[in-house]
Parts: sequence; structure tokens; C-alpha cells
Amino acid sequence: MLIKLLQRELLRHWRCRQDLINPLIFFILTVSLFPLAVTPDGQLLGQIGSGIIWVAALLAAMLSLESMYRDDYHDGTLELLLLQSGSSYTVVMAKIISHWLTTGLPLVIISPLLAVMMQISSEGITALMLTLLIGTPVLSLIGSVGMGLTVGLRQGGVLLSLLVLPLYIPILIFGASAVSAAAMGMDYSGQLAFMGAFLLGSISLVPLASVAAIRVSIR
Amino acid sequence: MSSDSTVLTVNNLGIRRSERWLFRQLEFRLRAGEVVQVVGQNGAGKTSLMRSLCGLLPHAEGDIHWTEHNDEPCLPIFLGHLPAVKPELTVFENLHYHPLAGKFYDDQSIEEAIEQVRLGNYLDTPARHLSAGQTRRVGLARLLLADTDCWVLDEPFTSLDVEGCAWLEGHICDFARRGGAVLITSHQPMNLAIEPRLLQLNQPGVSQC
Repeated sequence: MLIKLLQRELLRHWRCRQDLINPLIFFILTVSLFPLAVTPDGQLLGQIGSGIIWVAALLAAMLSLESMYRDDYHDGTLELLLLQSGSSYTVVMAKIISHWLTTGLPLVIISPLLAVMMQISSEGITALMLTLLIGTPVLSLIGSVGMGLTVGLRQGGVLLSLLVLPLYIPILIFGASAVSAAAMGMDYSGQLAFMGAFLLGSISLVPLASVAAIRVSIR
Repeated sequence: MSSDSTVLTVNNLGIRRSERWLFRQLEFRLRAGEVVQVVGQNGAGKTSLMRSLCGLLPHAEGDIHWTEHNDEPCLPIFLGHLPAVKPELTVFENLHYHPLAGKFYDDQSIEEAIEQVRLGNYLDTPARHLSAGQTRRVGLARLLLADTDCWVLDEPFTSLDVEGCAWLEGHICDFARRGGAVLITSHQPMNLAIEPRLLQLNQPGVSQC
């Protein structure tokens, strides 16, 4: 069931490639504008680079949340899916996984390139990829709850950011600090462990919250 | 499936929209092989009743009980106002990747269903190129596919042509004869071979069947 639903989501994303590229372009552009706007000086960029990449990744993930439930809500597919699949949690998990595969994973893959551009050291790049790999699924998971709550509203964009952003902040702090620590040659396993805990916590709680949120929206 | 078995039991149901009661103390049973038409004015709560029976809308009082078959809860197929057809997927993919009554169906039965709703030539056409009536037919193909005991149809004749309406009426009767239960709302006159039982939604106060 999960695999079939996942195939459906990915096929849909493949048919609308524009939405697929959007967050990635946003991510690359934001990060690449910083050296132009601030300074191309390697030392400064190396210090602020990890923070910039993390903020850009977070905003890019948030930008793409809209595509998660909105279309399905408007043409009635969402209610039919919840009704007919027999397990609402599977539907929500398929949505979250496909969201991560289409927005989170490309960000992780492209991030080393941007890290080189921001003159982050090679230890820092490993840490950046690791933290993004653990952190972006959390962004998709938490985002799905916010999106589920706001999908029924006509202009839910602002509300969505207000709901979701405070929950994103711990991930941002731990992610960026792990990369800075790694760049300075320090141990960053503590931060990674915290992020892993966030990931496991949200995997176990988010499906419940998302389904409840969507049920409120479609009534 | 024995012909007198109850598919759905509704006791003392009441639905409230914010402060206004749409109806209260609604009691009825839906038996296998029976067609029940819900009638009432606009705003009487027909759609709300159907959504509530399917579990999409919480009800304020009373209870709804779907009879279980071999410990599996009965999943009615609900055809509402919205088409639930993805414009970017083809007609075939729309049915192939959409679970119905808790499972997916094989390619051959999907192709047969599409053939039956006369969309055979549109098998690989993206659904955004279809007209409103054709999109509606994709929804009807779901009815043919789904392995379920109950159809819940909310204004199914909307945007269908005369021939399509007659076809659907025929299939509703076939399904009821095979032991299925149908709950339907329609403002258009229907020519069903099986006389539908009427369920009047009155406002305000007590509704009886």
C-alpha cells in the first residue's frame, strides 16, 4: 500500500517538474547571492557559511510545503484517499516521504557544492551533509502537521510559517552548530544525537498529529 | 452476503453546523440489496449526512454503525461533489494508483472498467484534457472497480449526459440486485427499476424513515 501510494506521489511530482525544481533553485540562488552581497573573503564565508546554508535549506523546505496537500485537498482526492485506503497513516507517511524525496534529498545532494563555494572545510562538508540528511526529514515531518492544519484556509501561507517556524528552530540551531563545530575540528556527535532524537520523536508522533490536523481541515 | 443483512445502522443521529442543528434523532437502517434516496431541500444536510456516515464529518450525537464482514470494517465508496481525479495523471493512472475500499486493483480490471464507462480511447490521456462529464465518468469507473458492499453517491448525475444517466441507473440497480446497498441523493428524477426507499430530511426537529 505504502509503495503504491509513494509511486503515485512521485509520478505526480514527475509530471509537474516545475514544482520540483523550484525549492532547489531557491536554495542555490539564496546561498550563491551571499558571497556577492557580503564579501567573497574566504575566512568570513567559512564562518557564516554553515548558518547560511542551513537557513536557506529550511526556507526552501518550507516554501515547498504548499504542494504537499493543497492540490489533493482542492480536488477531493485527499478525503477519498483517507477514506478508501483503510489506513490514514499510510497516506500521510507516503506524502511525507515523497515530499522529502523531492525536496529534502536534492538539497542534501547539492549541498557539498555550495559548501565548497562558501569555503567550508572538508570536515565541515561531511558534517553538513550528515546534519542535512538527518534534519531535512524532520522539516518535512513537522511541516506536514502545519500544512494539514492550514490546508483548508484560503490564505494559510502566513499562518503556516508562524506555526511551523518555531518548531524548526531547534533543528536549525543544532544543525548549524554541528557544522561550525566540525569546521573547527571539534566533535559534533552530541548535536547529531540530538537531531537523531528529533527525527525519531517526530517520526513516531507526526503521523498521528497530521491525520488529526487533516481531519479538522476536511470536515 | 444474505439479502436481508443490514449494512448500516444509524441511531439517533444528529449533525450540528456550529450552532444550528441540521437534523436530530435520525434513525434508519440500510440493508443489502436496497436503494435509499435521501431527499430534502438545499441545505437540509444531505451532503453532511453522507460525509458523516463516511467518517469525514464528526457527528454531534447518536451513532453510526457499519456492519463488519469477517472482522473487516465495511469501507463504503463515496462519490462526492469533487471529482478526486488528478489532472496530471492519465485516466489509467488515476485508477491504478488510487486505493479503493482498502486495496489496489490489477491492470486488466481497470482497463475493463474504463472501457465500460466509454473512456477506452482516453486510457493514456492526462485527465486535464477531459471534459467535466468525462472526469465524472472516471469517478464512475471507481464504482465498477471497488469491491465493497455499499455505494454512497452524492449527486452522481451531475454533468452526465442522458445516456450516461441511464447507464448509471442501470448499474445502481445491478449492484443492488447483487446484494449491494446504495445511498443516493439526486435532484434529478431517476428511473430506477428498483423503487428507492425515501429518507426525508426535515428541518427542524424529528426526521423519520
